[in-house]
Amino acid sequence: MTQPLLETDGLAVRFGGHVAVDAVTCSFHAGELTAIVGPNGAGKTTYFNLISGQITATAGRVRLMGEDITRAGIAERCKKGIGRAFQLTNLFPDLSVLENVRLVIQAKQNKGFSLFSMADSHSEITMAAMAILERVRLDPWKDQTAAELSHGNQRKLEVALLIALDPMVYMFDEPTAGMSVDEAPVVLDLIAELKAETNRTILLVEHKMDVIRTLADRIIVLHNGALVADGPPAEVMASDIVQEAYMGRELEDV
Amino acid sequence: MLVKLLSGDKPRSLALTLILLAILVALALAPFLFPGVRSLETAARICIFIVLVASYDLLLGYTGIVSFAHTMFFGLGAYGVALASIHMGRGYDALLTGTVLGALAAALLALVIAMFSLRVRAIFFAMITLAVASAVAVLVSQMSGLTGGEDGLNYMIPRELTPAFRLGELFGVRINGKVLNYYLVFFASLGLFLLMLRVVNSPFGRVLKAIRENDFRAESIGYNVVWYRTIATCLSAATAAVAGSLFAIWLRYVGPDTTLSFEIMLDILLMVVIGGMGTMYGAVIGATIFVLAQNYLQTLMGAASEATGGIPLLPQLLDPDRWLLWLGILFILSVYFFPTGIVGRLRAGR
Repeated sequence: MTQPLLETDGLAVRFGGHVAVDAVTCSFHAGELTAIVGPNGAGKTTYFNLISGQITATAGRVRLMGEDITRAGIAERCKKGIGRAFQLTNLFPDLSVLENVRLVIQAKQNKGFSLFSMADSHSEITMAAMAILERVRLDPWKDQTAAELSHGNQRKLEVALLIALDPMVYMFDEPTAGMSVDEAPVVLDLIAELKAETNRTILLVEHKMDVIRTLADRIIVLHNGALVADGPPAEVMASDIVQEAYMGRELEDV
Repeated sequence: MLVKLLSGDKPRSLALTLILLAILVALALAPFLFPGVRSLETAARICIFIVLVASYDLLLGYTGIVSFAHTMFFGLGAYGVALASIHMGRGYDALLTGTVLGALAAALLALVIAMFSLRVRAIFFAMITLAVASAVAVLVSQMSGLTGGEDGLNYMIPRELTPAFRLGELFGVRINGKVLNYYLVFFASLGLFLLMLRVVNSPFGRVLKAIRENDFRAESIGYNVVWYRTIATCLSAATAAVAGSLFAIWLRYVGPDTTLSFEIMLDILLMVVIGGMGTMYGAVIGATIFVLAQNYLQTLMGAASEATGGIPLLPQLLDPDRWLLWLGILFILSVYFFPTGIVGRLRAGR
């Protein structure tokens, strides 16, 4: 079997006495879209934070293409190829939509430490950013500030930033949360397109079962921080543990 | 060409453009438009404070870092020129050496402070700068053997930059070394200001804005936030030091009160806020208004006090001794009516 793009090996973090992520060992391969499911508080977002570096693990390892990145900083991991879109919209609110994307392209091209050139003279950055905006159909709003966008468009911009980053590992944390029925498909189509580019791996935290059914190649289930199921969607969804974990969650929500 | 000189950062308001042009013309022609020692003194001070305030805006307005050590960096540049002129003897090489070493020392000190504090939380930076700045101010006044203590230092600068050097008359104005010195200050300040305008409009400047808006996200798209903040701090410190050097060249004197005092630090803060944070042009307007008020409000009030001599209470209120009261009122009013500063207000228009 080929080397996985991303591996977590016994990855764990505890906050005081509470084990938020409990020794999760899992690997993710190129061309694969893995949905991560589990009830609220199961540790999905914490698992994401451990991979993208917002939280440092108390035990275990994170490896990207075989390289140990457990202790690397957030920016460093990003440079190495881990990109993440956030659950709560997390943009540069007072900058224009175009500038939001330009910043990502600029980071990717390592132009951030250019002190004495004019930012707007870098047309290669602007053009690349425009291409991304057209792809997510945000180009009509390019001159508005991110704060002025509708919620749905902010979610799209969130995804656009990740696409602009073009990482090896795409991490989506509930990308369609709060989007209207006609807005969500745009984002889901984008994720499907990304999946078709087979040299990347995509991690998706999602609650909507229909979304998972159409997109995911594989489901892993977290429960109380531990990995309790891992396999093809049909198989995992039918298993008792998922029925229990998921039904449990839905009962809690009611 | 002009747009390039301004780094594409146009004033974006007709009123602002006119005000900035008026300030530029007034400062460029100050020796001819406003002859006299006092007005030239004011003009030079405005030039220097524009640079100093703009360098502070780079930190506060563009990066969102609060520092209380800006006068310390200013003082490092000033004392650099003073010490070099004393120990190397009068000469341009001393001025240059003092300026370069002062700026380097400021950048290095800023680097150390930043490394210690920015790593943790930006707010610690404010606390540490406060502590270090106080410590340096005390040190400077105590180490009188080196720094002249509270009395400060007097020193010689090249004769061409002093009033003793006479060149004759132009448009009825006597041109002497002081006028040459003024133009040195003016062009150096203009250059430094344009340079800072370029920095805030460079890719680096865009990252600073991004960090100010959302440092968490800036980090997660691959910018090492600590490094960007550190470099901005060093750059701002070095620029403040050069402004200090210009001040020392202009005054031919340095002392704790003129360069290191906490009052100047407060003045800088007020100038940034009045002018408008994160705009650069705000520094021009803030510094001009504030320095003018500092120098002429008392005169103006003296005149007003005399003019209102017959009316009860008013002469007392307008007494020149109350000038700080009025400056305070002006400040409160400007913050109340222009929360985004004068530049922010003018750009919003309407």
